[in-house]
Amino acid sequence: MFAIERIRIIKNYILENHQAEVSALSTMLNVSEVTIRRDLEKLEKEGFLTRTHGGAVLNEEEEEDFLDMIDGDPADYNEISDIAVQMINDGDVIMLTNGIINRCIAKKLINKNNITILTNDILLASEISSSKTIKVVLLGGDIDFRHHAVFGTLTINNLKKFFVSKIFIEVDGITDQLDITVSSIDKASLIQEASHNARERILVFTAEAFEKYAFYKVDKAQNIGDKIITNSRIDDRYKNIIFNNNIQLFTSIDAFEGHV
Amino acid sequence: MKHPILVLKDINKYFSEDFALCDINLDLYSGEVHIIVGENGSGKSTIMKIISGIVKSDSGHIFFHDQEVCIHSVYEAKKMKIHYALQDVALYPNLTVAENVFADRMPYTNKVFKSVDFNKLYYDCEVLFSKLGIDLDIYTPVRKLGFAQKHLIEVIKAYVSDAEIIIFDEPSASFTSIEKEILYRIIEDLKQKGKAIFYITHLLEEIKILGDRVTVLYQGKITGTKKVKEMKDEHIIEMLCMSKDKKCYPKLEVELGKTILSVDNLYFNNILKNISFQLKKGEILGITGLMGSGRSLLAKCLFGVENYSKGRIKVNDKFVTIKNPSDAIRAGIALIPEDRLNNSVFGCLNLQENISISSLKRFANKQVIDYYILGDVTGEYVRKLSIKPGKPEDLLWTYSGGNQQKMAIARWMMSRLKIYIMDEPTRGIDIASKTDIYNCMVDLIRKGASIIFISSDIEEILGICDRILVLNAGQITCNILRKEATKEKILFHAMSLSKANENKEVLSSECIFL
Repeated sequence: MFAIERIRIIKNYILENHQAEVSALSTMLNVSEVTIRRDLEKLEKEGFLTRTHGGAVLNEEEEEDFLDMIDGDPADYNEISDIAVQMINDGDVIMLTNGIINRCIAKKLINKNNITILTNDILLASEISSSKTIKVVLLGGDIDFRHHAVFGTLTINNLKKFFVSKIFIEVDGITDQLDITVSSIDKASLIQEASHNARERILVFTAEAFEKYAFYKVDKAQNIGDKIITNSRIDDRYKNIIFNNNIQLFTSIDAFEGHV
Repeated sequence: MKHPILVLKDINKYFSEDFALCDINLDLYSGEVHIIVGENGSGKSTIMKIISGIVKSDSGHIFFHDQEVCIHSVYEAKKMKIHYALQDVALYPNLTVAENVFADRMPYTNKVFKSVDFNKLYYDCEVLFSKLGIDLDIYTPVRKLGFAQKHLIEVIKAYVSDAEIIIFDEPSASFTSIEKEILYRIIEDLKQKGKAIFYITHLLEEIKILGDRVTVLYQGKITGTKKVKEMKDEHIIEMLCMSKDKKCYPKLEVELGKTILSVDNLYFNNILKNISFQLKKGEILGITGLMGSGRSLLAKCLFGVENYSKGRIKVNDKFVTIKNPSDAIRAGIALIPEDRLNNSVFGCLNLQENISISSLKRFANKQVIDYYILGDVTGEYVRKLSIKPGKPEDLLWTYSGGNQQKMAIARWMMSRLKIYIMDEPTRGIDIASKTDIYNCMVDLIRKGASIIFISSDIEEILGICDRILVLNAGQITCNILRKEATKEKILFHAMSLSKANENKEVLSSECIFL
C-alpha cells in the first residue's frame, strides 16, 4: 500500500471516529506501529489532528466550549474528570459544585443511567439539560455572573434539604498545610455546608492549585474531603503530606495506551 | 534476678499538640531482643533518638547499669557503647564496603599518626563476610550498591561495633529473604554474645522469630510490654491490630468483567500445594502470607521463572503451558519481581533502554529500531509516571528505589499486557512513589487490565485489593472479598499454629530455590 493511500484511510477513519489508537490503526492497516506514528506526525503538521498518548484526536472546529475559558492544558481537566466519572455508579445522587472540572465531569455522565445531579453551577445545569438520562436539580440563590453560579444564604438554606451519596468539591487553592482556599467567601461557606451533606466527599483540583493561594480559607482538606483527585505532576512533597493525612490521593496517571 | 542494663523512667518529650511522648517507661536486659511496635508516628524512633543522644528529653531519667546518666550527644552515647543503626542509610558513599564496615574502629599501624592498616582491614572484612555468608565485593565503593545492600552494611556495622546496646530501626524494610536470613543470623549471634537489642519492626514474623519481649506504642504512649513466648498468636495479632484503619490507599471500584486467568490445582514440588484461584478482568487480587509461605514462588511459577510440577492454567478460557517467561508474555502475563535490583533493573543500561526493552517490537520498522519514535514514546511514560530525574540517557543504578520501581512498571505498561503480577512493588520505597504506583494500578484496571498484587503489608492489601488470598505453608488458607476481610482474619489465616512447623521446612527449602 502506498503512503498516500494509507494516510487517506487514516484520515477517513479519524473523521468518522473523531479519534484513533495507534495500535488499532496498526492492526487495521497491517503496518508497523512506527509507520502509523510517522503518518500521524505528518497529519499533525498539516493541522488535521493532535497526537495524544497512544493515539490521536481530530482537530474539530468546536462550538464555544467552557474549556476555552481556561488558561491551562485541557488534558489536565479531562484526565481528572475521567477518574471522577469512574467513581460514579448508575443510580447515584451526586452534587457538583461550580467549576470547570465539574462541568467536564457532568458532560461525561451522559452515558450513565439514572443519575441525579445537584449543582449550583448554571452553565453546568444548562449544558446537560438536553440529556434524558440525567436529572438535574439547580439550587437557587444570588447569581454570580462572573462564575456562572448561584451563592448566598438562599443557596445554603436550599442545600440543607438534600443529602447526596457523593459530592465533588472543586477548589481553587491548597496550601502545603493542606488548607483549602477559594476565591470568594460565598463559595467557602457553600462548601463548608455542602460537605456535611454527603456520604463521600471528593476534592478535585488541577496541579496548579498547589501553587495558588486564594483569599478565603475553607478548612483543612482532611476535614472536608475523603478523596482527592488531581494531576500526577504534583510535587512529591504534596503526595507525602496527603498520604500521611489519611486521604486517598488519586493522581490522574493516564499511561496505559488504549484498552485491553 | 538480673539487673536491667538500661532503664527509662517517666520520659516526656513534647513536640506539638499532635505529637508528644508521654511517661515512657522501658527497660532492657542484656542478651535480649526487645521489640518495639507501633504505627508510623507513634514515637518509636523518637524514643530511640533520646536513648542515642540525638534528641533530648524534656523530663525523666535514664539509668545505665543502675546509674543515672544524661545523654547529651551522640558522642556520649557512643562512649556508653550505644549503637543506633538508623532507618536511613548513613554511609560514606565514596569509601569501599570494608572501610564503611569498620569506619568506627579502623585498625591502625600507627595510632599516633592514624595510618590505617589496610591489609588487616580487608582481611578482617573478608573473614567476617565469609563467616556471615555475605556475598559482596568488599572493594566496591558503597555508592555503587543497591538500597538493600546499603542497609545490610548498616546492620553489619552494628554487628562489629562493640556496643552493649544496639538499636535497629526497621532494618529489614528493603530486604529480600536472603538478606533477612543474614540479618536474623546476625541478631541471634549478638544475643548469644550478651548484647542488648532494641528492634523496631512492623512485621509479625520478626516478632515471632527474633523477639523476647514486645512493647506496643500508641500515639506516644506505651500500651503494654509482654513476653513473646507467653503470648499466643491471637495476642500478637491483637497488639498489631491496635492501630487505626488507614484510609489513604486510593481504591477505584471498577466493574469486574469475565474471568481472565484461572489457575487449577497448581503444585510446585512439595512447596506449593493445590493452588486454585480465578482472576477477573479489572480485578486486583491480593496475595499475602508470611515469608516462606510461597507467595513469591507462586508469582514465579505463573511467569515461568520456575516450572510448576502439576496443574493447569487458563488464560482467556484457553489452556496455556508456561515453561518460560516468553510463554508467559505471549499469554499476556507480566511480572514485576520482588528483587528489583537483581531481577528487573539493568543498572548499567540507560533509562530509555530500560523502559523500552520489553516492547522493542513496537518500535521496529523492518527489523530496524526507530529511535526517534522510541524516544518519543518512552519520554511520555517518564513524564506520566513522573520518573525523576528522567533524562533518557541516565543510568539506572543512579536512581532511587522508588524511581527504579516506577521504571519497572512503565516497562510492562508499555508492552500492553493483560495481567500484571506485582511482587512487593512498594517495599522499601518512598511514599510519593508509592502513591504513584497505586495510581498506576488504578490506571491499569480502569483500562481493563487485571492485577495480582503480592504484599506483606496487610493494610495495603486491605486498602487496594478487591479480593484477598492468604497463603500459609504453600496452601491457600483463605480467599475472601475485601468487604469481609479484617486484619485479624488475615493474620490468623496467615499464621495458624498447626502449620507453624511445616512452615519452617518450607522456609528453608525455598531458600534453596532462591
